[in-house]
Formats: sequence, C-alpha cells, structure tokens
Amino acid sequence: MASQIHFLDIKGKPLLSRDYKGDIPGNTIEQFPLLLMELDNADDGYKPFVWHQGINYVYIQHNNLYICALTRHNENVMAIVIFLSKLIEVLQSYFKSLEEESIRDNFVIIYELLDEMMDFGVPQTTDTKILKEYITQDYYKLIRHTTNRMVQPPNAVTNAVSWRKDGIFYKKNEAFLDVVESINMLITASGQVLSSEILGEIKIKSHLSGMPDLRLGLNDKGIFTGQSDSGATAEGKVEMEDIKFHQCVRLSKFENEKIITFIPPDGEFVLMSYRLSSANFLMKPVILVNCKSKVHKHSRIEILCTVRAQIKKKSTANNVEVRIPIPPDADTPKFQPEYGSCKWLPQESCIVWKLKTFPGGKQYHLRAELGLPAVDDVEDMTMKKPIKVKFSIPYFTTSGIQVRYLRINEPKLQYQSYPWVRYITQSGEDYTVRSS
Amino acid sequence: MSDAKYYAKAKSAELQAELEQAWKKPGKKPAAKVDVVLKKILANTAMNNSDMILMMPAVIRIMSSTGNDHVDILKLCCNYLTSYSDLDSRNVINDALPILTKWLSSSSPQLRILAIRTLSQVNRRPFIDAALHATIAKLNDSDPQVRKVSCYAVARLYQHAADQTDVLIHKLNDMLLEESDTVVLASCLAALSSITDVSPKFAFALTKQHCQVLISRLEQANEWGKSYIINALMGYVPQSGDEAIDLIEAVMPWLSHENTAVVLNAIKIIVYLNNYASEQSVLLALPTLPKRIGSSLVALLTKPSELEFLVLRNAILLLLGRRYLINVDVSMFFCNYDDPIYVKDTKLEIIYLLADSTNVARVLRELEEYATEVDVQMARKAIRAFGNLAVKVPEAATDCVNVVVELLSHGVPYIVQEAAVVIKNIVRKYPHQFNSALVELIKHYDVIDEPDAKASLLWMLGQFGESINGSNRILASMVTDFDNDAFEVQNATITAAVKLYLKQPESGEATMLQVLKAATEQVNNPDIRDRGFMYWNLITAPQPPGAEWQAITKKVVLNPQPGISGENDTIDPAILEELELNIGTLLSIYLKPVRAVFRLSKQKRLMPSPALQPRPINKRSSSNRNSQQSAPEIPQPRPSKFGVHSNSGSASAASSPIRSSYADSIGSSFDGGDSSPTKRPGMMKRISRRIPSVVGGSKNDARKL
Repeated sequence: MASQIHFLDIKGKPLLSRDYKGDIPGNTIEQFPLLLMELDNADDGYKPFVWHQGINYVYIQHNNLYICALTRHNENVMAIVIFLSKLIEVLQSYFKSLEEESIRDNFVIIYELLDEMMDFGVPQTTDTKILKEYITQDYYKLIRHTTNRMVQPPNAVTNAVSWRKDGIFYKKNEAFLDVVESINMLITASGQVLSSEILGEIKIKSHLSGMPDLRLGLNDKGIFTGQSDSGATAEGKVEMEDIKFHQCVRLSKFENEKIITFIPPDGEFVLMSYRLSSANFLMKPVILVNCKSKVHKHSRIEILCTVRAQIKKKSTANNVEVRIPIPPDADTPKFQPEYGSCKWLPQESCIVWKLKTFPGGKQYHLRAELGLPAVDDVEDMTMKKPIKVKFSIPYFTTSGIQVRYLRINEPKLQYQSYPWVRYITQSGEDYTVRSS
Repeated sequence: MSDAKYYAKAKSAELQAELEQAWKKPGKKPAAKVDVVLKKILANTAMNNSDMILMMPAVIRIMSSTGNDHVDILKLCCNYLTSYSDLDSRNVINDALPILTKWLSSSSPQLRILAIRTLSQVNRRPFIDAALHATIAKLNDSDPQVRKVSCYAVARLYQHAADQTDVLIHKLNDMLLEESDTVVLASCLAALSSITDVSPKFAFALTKQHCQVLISRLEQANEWGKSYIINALMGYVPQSGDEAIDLIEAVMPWLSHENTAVVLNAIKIIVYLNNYASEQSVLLALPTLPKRIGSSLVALLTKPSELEFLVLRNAILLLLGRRYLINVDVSMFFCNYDDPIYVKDTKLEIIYLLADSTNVARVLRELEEYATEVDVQMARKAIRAFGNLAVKVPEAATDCVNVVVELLSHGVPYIVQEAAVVIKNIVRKYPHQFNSALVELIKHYDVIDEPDAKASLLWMLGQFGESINGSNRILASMVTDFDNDAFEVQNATITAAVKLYLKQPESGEATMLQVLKAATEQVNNPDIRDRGFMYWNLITAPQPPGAEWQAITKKVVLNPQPGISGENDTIDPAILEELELNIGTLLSIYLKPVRAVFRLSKQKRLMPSPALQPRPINKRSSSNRNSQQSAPEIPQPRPSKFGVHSNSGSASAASSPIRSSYADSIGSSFDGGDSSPTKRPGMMKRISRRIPSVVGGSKNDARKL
C-alpha cells in the first residue's frame, strides 16, 4: 500500500524514512517542502493529500511533525491515513509526546517498530499492547539476560485472541466501567437547537486474570431500537445509532442475539462507542447561553451574558466554562459576574467565564465591558465566532443508557470479580452557540 | 535512553577503528560496542551520509560473527544491507548471501524471518534467485510468523522478477483454503491483491467456497486482517440476487467496527454486491441497511479532519450512485466553525446533493449563515450553492433568488462576482421569471471584473438585452478593454454584441462594429478571430429576397436556449461504476476515472453474472424527479467549432452553465462533448472487455491470457 513512510519536521525536511517497496526513488520526498509551500500559496489552502508527478503524498500533521506516506498506485487511502494516525498513537504510548525531538531520541526503536507494524507497505498490527510485547525500549537488555533461551516472537500476534496474551494474573480481579457521553450541540443565538448529538463511550479498565469471557448487559432501551427499524422509533425511545465496537467484541453474536460478549484486552480500552442523533429528547440546550453584546464604536463593547442549567434540580454541572469571543483589539476588561470567575485571554480574543459548580435550574448573569480602540476597523465580522461551552455532569447519562450487569467468567480460574460502573455526561468538542 | 547522541556525522574509518577495538579486547563480549557502532551507522544513513557505504565489509563481518542471541544487532545489519544494496558497486554484498542462507535453516524463527525478508528485499540477481528458492519452502514453515513474512516476500519478489513467481503465486492461492492461521491468511490475501492489482496476467477472483471460508475467519482476524479479508470479498461474483443479499448480511456487522478502514471496506463491498441484487430486493430483505450505512458514515464524521474529509468524499460518491442505500439527515453535514476549508467545501457539496423539497427551507437558512461568513472562499461557495439549489429544486428558486439579491445589495465585490454567475444560471433555467434579480445585478456591473462573472453578465446582456435598461450603454462600457480580456470573456463579448445588434439595430450597431473589428484585426487568438469572421459573414451575407431583415442571422443566433437542469450530479455511469469499485482509495478524493490519475493502473469493472443488475438511474426524492425528467442534458463546452451553430451563442457564454466540480473535472478529463453521459454502455461491450484470467478458481486456478 504505502511505498515509503517519512517523518518530516515542520518545514518538510525529512527526519526519518522507511522504504517498503523500492518503487519510488529515495529522493522523491525532497519535493515535499516545495509542495507544502505551493499549497500554502494556493487558493484552497491546506489539503491532506497532494498529487505530484504521478506520486501521491498522503500526510497528517502532528505537533511539529509531518508524517507522510508516498504511493504510486491507487491505494486504499483510508487505510493509509488510519495507519498513520495509529502510528502516532503507538509512538505516543512509547514516548509520551511525539515531536521532532523524540524522533531523534528514539530513532532505533522507531525503525524497528516501522518494520513490525508494516510489511511491504501493508499494515500488520497497530496494537500498542502487542507491539510492546516484543519491542521494548530495553530490547537488547531483555535479550541479554535470557541468552540461553531462544527468542520467540510472542504468540499473541498469531493467537486466536490477538489482543490478549496468556498468563495475566491479578491478585484482586476488578473491572471498571465508565459510561461517558459527550454532547455536541449547535444552538442559534435565540436558543434554538439546530443540531445535536450524543457521542457515547463505554470505557473499560480491566484488571482481570487469565482469559476471562465478559458479557455486558445494558438496559434494553439502548441496544434494541437502533436496529429494529424505523417503525419502533417513534414513542420517545432511545434510538442508538451506529454502535462501534472494539475489535474484541464478537460482532456476529451481537448482530444475531444482541448480546455483547468479549474477551477484553488487558488494561484500559474503549469497548464501544455510539452516537445518538438526539432530535427526540435533546430538544433544548443543556446549558442555555444567552449573550447580548452592544458595540459602541470607537469606545467600548458591552456584553451581557446569561447562562442557565436546564438539567434536573438534583443534578449539578461541574466546571462550566463559557468562552465568549470578543474583537481582537478590545482591551481593559471589566467583569461583574454574579457567580464564578472571569478571565480575559487576549491571545485567543475571548473571555472565559468559569463556574465551578452549577446546580440544575439555576441561572446566572455576567456583565462585562471592554474598551475598543478609537481607530476604525473595517472588518467588523470577527463576532461571527461562536460561543463555546464546556461542562460535565456526573452520575447522569443524557440518553438514559444504563449498565444492567457485567458478568465475568474465567472458565479455568473461576475467581470472584468486582465490576464498578461510573456515569458522566460532558460537553463534546462542538457545543457551540452561534452569536447573533 | 536517548539515541540522539548517535546523531553526529561520523567517518567510516573512525567507525571501523571502533569496531576493531571492540573485537580486539580478549575475553570481553563485543556486542555492546558493536551495537553502538551500528546505531551510529543507522543515524548517518538517515542523514544521507554516503560514506557509510564503505562499512559494507565490516557489517557483513558482524553478521557472520554475531550469534543468534543478538537478534537486535542482526536486525540492524539487515537494515543496513537493504538500504545500501543499490549503491554497492563492487558486489561486496554477495558475501552476505551464504550467511543469510544459513539463517534460513536456523532454529530461531526470528532469524528465518530476517533472512527471508532481507533476501527478498535486496534487488540483486543472486539474492532474488536464493529468495525464490527459499520462499516456496518457507511458505510451509511451521511458524506462522515466518509464513506471514513469506507471503509478503512473494509480493516483493513479484516486483523484482514477475515472470518467475508463478509457482509462488499458485502456492499462495492454495493457502487460501488450507491455511489454519488467520493472520497468515490475511497476509496471503493482502499479498495476492497487491500482485493482482498490477499484474496483467492475474486477476483476483474467488469461488463460493473461498468466500465461505473467508467469512468464517473474519471474526478471528485482527483489525487490519479484517480489512484485507473484507476487501478480498470483492473477488467473488455472486450468481444470484439472494446470494448477494446473504453476503451483504454477512458483512453488515462490520459497519460497526472501530477501525474506519474496516468500515469503509465493508461499505465498498456492500455497494459492490448491490450491483448483483435489485434495489427492491435488497431493501426488502434488509430494511435497516440504509439507516446502518447512513449512521455509520455520520459517526465517522467526528474523526480528525483528514479522515472526515475522506469519509465525506466517499459519501458524495455514495450519494451520486446509490442514494437509496443511505438514510441520513442533512443537518449532520452542517459545517462547524473550525472545520478546515476542504472539509467545509465537501460538506457543502453534500448538503447540495441531499437538498430536496422537503428540507430545502432548513438548507437555505444554513447556507445563508455561510454566505455571510468572514471566510471569503466559504461565502463564495455558499452563494454558488444557492444558485445550484435554485436550479435543482424549483420550489426553492424564489427563496434562493431573494437571498442572493439581498446579499447582492451590499455591493461587496466578491459577492457580486459570484452572484453574477449564479443569477445567470437561474435566469437561464427560469427565463423572465426573475428579472428583478437581473436589474439588481446590473446596478453593480462596474464592480464585476472576474472573467467568469464578466462572461456571465455579458451573456445575460445579450440574451435579455431588450428588457434591461441601457443594455447598450453597459455593453459599450464593458468592451473598452476588449484586447486584454480573458478568452471566454472575449467570446462572450462578441456574441453579446451581435445579439444586441440584432435586437436593437440602431443603438447596437456601433458597439458591434467596434467589437468585431477588434476581434478580427487586433486579437491574436485564431479562435476569436474565426468567430469574429463568422459573425461578419453572417451579418453581411446577402438577404434572400423578401425575407425579414437579417432573418438568417437571427435564426442562427437568436433561438431558445437548451434548458439546464440541476442534475449536474450525474456522472457518466461507467465512471461512477469504476469509482464505486474504488471506494476508500485515492480515486475517491479525485473522483476521476482511474486512468486519468493512475495511468498504469488496472481498471476495475463489474464481472458479468446472471444476477448483474442494470445500473440504477440516479434518483432524487420522488417529489421533484418528475419535474426534472424532461430537462435535457447540459451541452458540453466546445471550443468554438463552427460546425454547430444552433447554440453557438450560448455555448460560449454559458460554457460551464453549472460549475460543479464533477462536471468540470470529469468534463475536462474526458472528451464528453459528443457522448450523452447518461447512456449506459451496452452490456455486450462490458463483457467483451472483461479480463478472462482467474486466480483462486477451483481447478486450473490461473491461466495465461
């Protein structure tokens, strides 16, 4: 698939390269900085894919690095991009953060990883836990201590259960379940919801011995309706659209019997993610923001912002953060929050209003005033930037999904185990209120 | 640990000395020192230090003297060998051959892997010969890892010595049924498909038995393996509709996989299989399918922008060809403020494709939001979308025009440019219905300077000159810089001047004469000159007795325009078919036929089968389908050929009546001028072009062509 993979610095200078096929000359990548520059000047700006003289450059940017794959043929670009992003994930789990420095610091192991993760340009395995099995930072040390043992590739790679190795043991067998729902909402200035969705994830941290077989039961609400066709979706039922499972879940079993069964990998992983297009039950914003700003040209801008937590009286929203954009040239802020604290971030041209705890049903006001320069600014359109809101609400899922049971069964060891469950609803990346 | 310390320019002599020292010290094991030297070599290789080629003999010596308890060192050595094999001019590298061959029979699988990988990677005759010999044996190795690497070795050898790999490819083919390990099986498929992708001799085809085996193995494979196996199912040609539906059902669970590559491959195979089952039967058997595909696409939109972009491009493809397979709500594709422009752009196209009379109100509100955005590019695209929508959904035309006029009234230059193009399309589709918009646009004629916009305005002047106040005065002011105008503007000017002259002989004559004079005497472009002469001849041709003034000219120049339709989203079905078979690949970004981007690529086509369905005609929601049916095709631009006079006037001004990216890209890469793009290529033609050879067939699995 990919003929070559390159790590390049932010200017496009190659740092580390691996050639898998040898069908593209080694110096081709030297074109890359030029292409980047050309793209910068082009009208439509940055694009993640470039075609130049018969060669396709597929790249993604990460911190101060470009990671670029080259290919001559009509390859599965989706697989390549995913491989590149998984490559970043793997390297990050090795070096904490991946940037130019860390490439140089670890070039030996990166070469080795690249060899294991891809063969002939075809992705092999991108599972960090498996890779860590046979490549470790102290790789040679590890071998030196065991000189009399023949080095074997770990069986996990070609196991039936490729994501879990044999012989894991914990004294106390526990499994922690987190049900996290992120809400994305697009709200007009008048408080009308344009689009909304819930992105849910069930994360598991498994500390279980042996090869346990797990079975997860959710309240029927969640699972069944999504599949059972449009007729049943009417009466306010939760319609769980598009569930994505970790590779360990037996998908055909789920498809036929609607039962989630799996042998979990060790440690933390995301068991499933789901999306709810929530038109049915997320009719009103969870946190309602009403922001009015009045611009007095050449002197000042007045902002009056009201937030209201439209959640159950018993619940509380934590760490609520409202980001209100202001003109970039505004200065000398004066804040009068009814509650919470306010900060001005000139580098992002916005003010941030933080409310530590926010009980349901309450409403708070903020009055802010900022000075504007006396000089006229022609482009007065920056105010189109939306207001962003962050929050988290513990012990509560918007969709009403609940874990009924988590049965853990290890056929050989038959130990007692403890599942723990936690729920949280939080704002997604795009909880935005359009400014008027 | 930090390897950065190795990043220093080193001379080969220094490194050699370092090695000597390491070996000299009696008793002490040299491994640690050797390791350091090799890492320095690797670092210098990364820095393009060509001096390192001189280390070849030393590296080979390391290989021979290091035991198999130091696989890490040997790995580095092999890495070195492969990176310098091309540069080694004195064949020193051949000394490594016996060592590698020895490893082949080593008891350590790690060494066997290294040996087979290195042998197949070094593009040297002796190495390849050895590798050809070794791979056939190692495909039967007891260790699955070794078998896996051997599979890829076959693919690599095919690159170097295609004509000698037949045996190996047959062996891979046999393994499809016999192999017990799923990872090896997936690798085998990946290797086979990479060979058949380029091979003129082999094509990828599966039997039903293969299919069943593969599907039963899906569950055990890791994520990448799944993606190769699903992809491989494309090699099977269902013989009946039921079979296709069964397969779709078998693949459906993988729409819920976490790895996007798997999901997209699953979509690809589902779309492929839909060619072999009728729309009704699929929807009857699997009523939830459109919903599943729709929601799995939408869920992918929360991924990073690069992935989102890819998903969107493929969504366009699906919407164009298989609208009935997707059930999505248009609001999921509304743009976010921070989306990069390439994502917004693609979303805009999807919004346009999804718009119909049921949701057009919401779509319009959303587009209006974009049109007033700070980002000029986005605003322009949004305005353009208004125009396209107005043409596509007649119910919305009035609203669209109102919004465009409203935006236009601010007189912002870039909005005026776009609005000119948009209004041209609208008045062309609904002549005389929106003259108010025309009047509003004319107010701003002095701002219009971009070629497209100018050509559009000129065309409108010519076409509706009689209903525009002072059209002659405006035209006269627009021709002042005729010599320097762009080609299409010059063309449009000539036509507009002639049309106006025919409509208003007295006031139009001066300008017409001025333009034709300039066109025939001053312009260097032969096409423009020819066109000028053609009009001269028309106008000055002798009148038939008793005829009306300029009757012939009027007949040629002033006649009803062929209508335009919003169905510019119809791509040539043959191309669409090809694109559908390439979902998820680079083609899906470019949305062009494979030969236009990858000249040497093999074309994929559908294999014949009793179940093969005729291609569905792209359907909109039924409400406006009827109203669109009668609309004729868009005329393709013809660079001023005189053979066709009937609408030569409009062909230039409205040379791209609709400016959709596909119409443009495909129109330009294909000389689609003469073929009606909706005609489906005959089935016979299709069959005669198929590639007859087969890999994976049951008995004589591979044949020569």
